Amino acid sequence: MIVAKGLSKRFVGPKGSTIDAVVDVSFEARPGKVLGILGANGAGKTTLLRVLSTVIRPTSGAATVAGHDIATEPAKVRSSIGFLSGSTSLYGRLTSRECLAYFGRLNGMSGQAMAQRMDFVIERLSLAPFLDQLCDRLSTGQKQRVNIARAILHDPPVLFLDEPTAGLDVLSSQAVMEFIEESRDQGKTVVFSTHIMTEAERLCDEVGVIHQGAIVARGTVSELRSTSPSLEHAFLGLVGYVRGAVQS
Amino acid sequence: MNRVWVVFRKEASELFRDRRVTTGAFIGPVFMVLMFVFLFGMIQRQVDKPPPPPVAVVATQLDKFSEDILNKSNSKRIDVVTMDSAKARLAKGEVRLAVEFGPALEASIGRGAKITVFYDQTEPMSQIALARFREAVLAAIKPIAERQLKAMGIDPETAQPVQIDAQAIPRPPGLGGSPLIGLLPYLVVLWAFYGGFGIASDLVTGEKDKGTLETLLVSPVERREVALGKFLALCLVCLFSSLATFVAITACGALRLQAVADLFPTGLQVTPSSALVVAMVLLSLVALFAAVLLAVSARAKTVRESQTTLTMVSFLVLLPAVFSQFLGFSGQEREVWVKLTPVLNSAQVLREALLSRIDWPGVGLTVSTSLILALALLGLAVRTFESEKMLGKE
Repeated sequence: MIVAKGLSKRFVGPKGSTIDAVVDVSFEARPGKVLGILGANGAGKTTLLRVLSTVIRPTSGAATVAGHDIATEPAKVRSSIGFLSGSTSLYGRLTSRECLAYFGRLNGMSGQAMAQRMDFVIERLSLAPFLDQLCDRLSTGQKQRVNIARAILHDPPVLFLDEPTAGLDVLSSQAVMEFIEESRDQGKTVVFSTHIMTEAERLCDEVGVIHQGAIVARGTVSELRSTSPSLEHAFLGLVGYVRGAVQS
Repeated sequence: MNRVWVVFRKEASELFRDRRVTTGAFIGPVFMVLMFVFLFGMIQRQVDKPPPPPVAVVATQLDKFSEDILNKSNSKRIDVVTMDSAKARLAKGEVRLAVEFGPALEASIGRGAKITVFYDQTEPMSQIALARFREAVLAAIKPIAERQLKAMGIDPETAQPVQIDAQAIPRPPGLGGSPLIGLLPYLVVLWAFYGGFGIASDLVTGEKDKGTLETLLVSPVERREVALGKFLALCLVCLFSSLATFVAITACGALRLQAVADLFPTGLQVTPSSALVVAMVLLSLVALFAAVLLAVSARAKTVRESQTTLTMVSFLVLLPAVFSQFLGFSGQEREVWVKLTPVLNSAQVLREALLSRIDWPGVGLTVSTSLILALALLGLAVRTFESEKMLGKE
C-alpha cells in the first residue's frame, strides 16, 4: 500500500533558478493493483518515484510505503520496495550470481533463506544459462532479467518500475510485462511509470497522468479514454499538445 | 585547405571547452613550474648557505689551533668525551660529523698530525659537512705547513702535512643500509597514491555514469555505509600497491643477482620497531590518500571530471614526495614544519624508520596529521554521499 499526500519536489539550480519537478501529488496505490504513472519525458515520473523510494527527499508533503513513512523510516521503506528502471544497471565485473548475492546481503538476507530465494528467482526468470557470466557480457534482455531478479530477490511487497522496458526489444519487453502481471497477481503493490500507451492499457488498473510535475488526471484506462478515440488522444489532450508544436 | 581550417576551428573550440585541456595543458604546467622553481630555489639556497652543521667533537685534547679550525668550518660544536659517543650521535642523525683532533695538532703539523673524522654515507648533509670541514682544515694548516716544509727542504706539494682520516660509519643493518634508502620511501608514498588513483573514478563516479549507483541507493544500505565500504576498498588497493613496492625491492635483493648485489650490502631485514613504524605510517597515509580519492570522485559529476580533478590533486602528492628526495640537502629534516607537512612527513619518517632511527614524537605527529586530514576528507565524502546531488542527475 502506498499513500502520498501533497508531495512536492523543487530543485534549486546553481544560479538560484528553481524547477518544480513534482507538484502537490496525492494518490493511493493498493496491493494487487498496478498504478500507472503516465507522462512525457521530463514530466516528473522519475523524480516522483525517487521521492517515494527515498533516494531524494520531498520539499513538502508526506507519503507512506508499506506502512513506513518516507521521511522518518527511509531504510524500512527501501527494505519494502523493489526498484527497477531503464537506468538501473548491474555491476559489469560481477557475475549474475554474485550480483544477486550482493543485493541479497544488502537486503539483510543470508544462509538458507537467501539460497532458497535465489533458486526461486533463477528458476522463475530462467537465469541459469548465464548465471556465472560477467554482467558486462550479457545481452540487454538478459541484463534486464537479472535486474528484475535483483529487484524481487528480497520479495518486497511494493514494486516501483520506472520505464522498465526502455531500450528493450519486443521479446524482452514482453517478459517484463509478464513479470508485472505476475507481481500484481501475487498481491504486490506496483507503481509503473511509462510513456507507452499500449503498456499502460495492458497493465494498469488505474492511471495518473503527470504533466509538468502535477497529476492532471486520474482514473481507470477506460475512464480516461471515454471521451477520446484512444488513450493516446486522451493523453495528448490532457498534456495540452497542439498539433505541430512540440511541448516540453 | 579551407575545410582543414573548418575542422581545425571546430576541434580547437571543442578542446578549449574541455576542462581537461584547460587544467592539464595550462594550469597544471604553470602550477608545476612554480612549485619546482620554488622548491629548487629553496634547496639551492640551503646548499649555498647551509646552516652550521652540528659536529660532535672529542674535546679532551683540543688545542687552540683545533678550536680555530672548528670555528672556520662554521660548525655547531657539540663536545663529547669519547669517539664512541660521538659516533653514536652520528648514527642517530643528531650530528653530521664525529671529529677527533690528534694531540698538539699545531705542533705536529708535518710530523704525523692526524684528524679522525667519521661521517654518515647515507646522509647528504654529512658528506657536505665533511667536504667543508676538509676545506677548513686545509685552509688553516696551509701557511704553517708550507713554512715548516720549506725549512726542512721538502716541497710542500709532495708532502702531506696533516692526515685527515675520514671514515664512514658502518651502514645501518638490513634494508636501511641500502643505497636505495633515499628512493624507497619516495616510491612507497607515490604508489600508495597511484595504486588507488586509477580506480577511484570508476569506483565512485563510474557508478553514476553506469547507473549502478541508483541500484545501490534504493537498497536498504545507508549512504554512509556505502561511502565507508568504498573508502576501505580504496585503502586496501592503496596499501596493496605500496606494499608491492616493498615486495619488489626485497625480491630484487633476495634474488642475489650480481647486477644488484651492491645495492643491498647489509641484507634485507627490518627491525620489529621499524616495521611497526612503517605499518603505522603506511596505514595512516593510505587512509589519507583513500579519503582524498573518495572525496574528489564523489563530488565529480562524471568520470572525466573526476579524472581531471584527481590529476591536479596528484601534483599535491607528487611534489612533497619529490621534495622528500632532496630534503637531506636542506638540512631541515628534523624541523617541525616537515613533521606537519602531509606526505613529506610520511616519506621522511619511513626513511628514518628504515635507518633504525625512530623519533616517536615525530612518528606520532606524522600519523596524527595524516589521520586528522583523512577524517576531515572522509567526513566531506560522506556528506557528499548523503547529498541529493550524489546521483548527479538533478
